[in-house]
Amino acid sequence: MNDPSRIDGVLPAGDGLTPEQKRLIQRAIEPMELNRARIEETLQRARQLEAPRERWRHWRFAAAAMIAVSLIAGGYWKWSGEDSNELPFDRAIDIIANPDGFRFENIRTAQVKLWLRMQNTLELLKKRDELADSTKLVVANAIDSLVLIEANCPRDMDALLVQIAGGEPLTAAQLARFERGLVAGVSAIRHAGRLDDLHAEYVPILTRRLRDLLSDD
Amino acid sequence: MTILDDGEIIRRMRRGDVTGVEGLLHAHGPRVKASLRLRFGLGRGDHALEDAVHDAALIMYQRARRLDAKRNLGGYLMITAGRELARALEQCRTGSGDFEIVLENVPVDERRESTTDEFSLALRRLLDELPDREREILAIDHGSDFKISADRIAEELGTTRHTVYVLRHRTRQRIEEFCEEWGRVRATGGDA
Repeated sequence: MNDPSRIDGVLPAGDGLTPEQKRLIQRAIEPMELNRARIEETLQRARQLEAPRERWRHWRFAAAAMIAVSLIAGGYWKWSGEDSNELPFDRAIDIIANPDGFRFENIRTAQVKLWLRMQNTLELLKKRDELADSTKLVVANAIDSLVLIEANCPRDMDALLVQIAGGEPLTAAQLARFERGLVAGVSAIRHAGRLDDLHAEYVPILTRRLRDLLSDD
Repeated sequence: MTILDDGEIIRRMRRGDVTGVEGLLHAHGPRVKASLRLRFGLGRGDHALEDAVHDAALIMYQRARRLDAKRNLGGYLMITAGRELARALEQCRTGSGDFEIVLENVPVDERRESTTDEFSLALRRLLDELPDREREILAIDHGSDFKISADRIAEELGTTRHTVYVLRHRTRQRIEEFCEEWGRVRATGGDA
């Protein structure tokens, strides 16, 4: 019980054998050499096992190469401007103006840019008294072009335009209504490809005017 | 062939290099084969011993990516080969195998062909005659180069760590007694 290799006086700790005993055992249990021919046979079997693993390795390389090519192609598409969200506005407008070129992505691009343009216009409108004459003209053109698109324009939109053109201040309610009108105009752009012939006539005119408007930037 | 360390063996096997298998067999095969022979009490020329070691090496080669590089490869080989051999022996006993293993009790002296050291021969006789469980534990310990845990042995033999500790201790005591007896016999000039 005084054996220091015992745990709690009950269990022997570790492997119980002393280094000297291990050495004696290793000497007593003599290693048995393996058959050389048998080793060669095993290596041959190992090479055969390797064959299918190699094949899968090639597949993995092929899959990795495909992913890399996809990423490169995607990056090129994105950075070259082929991504419709990154299309220059003018180009998007051109495509919208062409009935054969109608694509949702391009419409969406135009819509987003138009929305930003409208926000800017509204901001300018709120402080139009401070604007230079040339800027006032730009704002007026912007409003004009935006409203022209509108197929479902609020009835009093024309009155509001007259009011703006006359330099009269707009109330908050009028401004909100005017904003709704502009939003409706943007919505019309979005559906431009589905407008009937009468309304479709306006699209090329509208897009030209929008382009002119934007070229003032 | 130069003996490779375990890290290099496993690296080679993981990249599909069969020289890793060769390195494994050279580094651990002879010791594991001898330990298996002790564990299962087989004859020296038994082909099942050799087959088990080679099959285990191939199994480890296929599972190289899942092996823990920090652990003892000899232990892995010993455990895997032990399972393969146990399966082969079981098939043989139930008559379901395609081969036949002669499970004769070869006298210890006939098994020892190359040992010239009398002390080692006598110690080997003692080890061969250990109770089954003690002999199995000692064989696994030896095959793993004494680097395997009691938990792992207990798991392999379906027993508890406590039992492994106790049986290891008994073996230690037997060897101590054997050494004392051997020294006394030698001192008095008697036969071993």
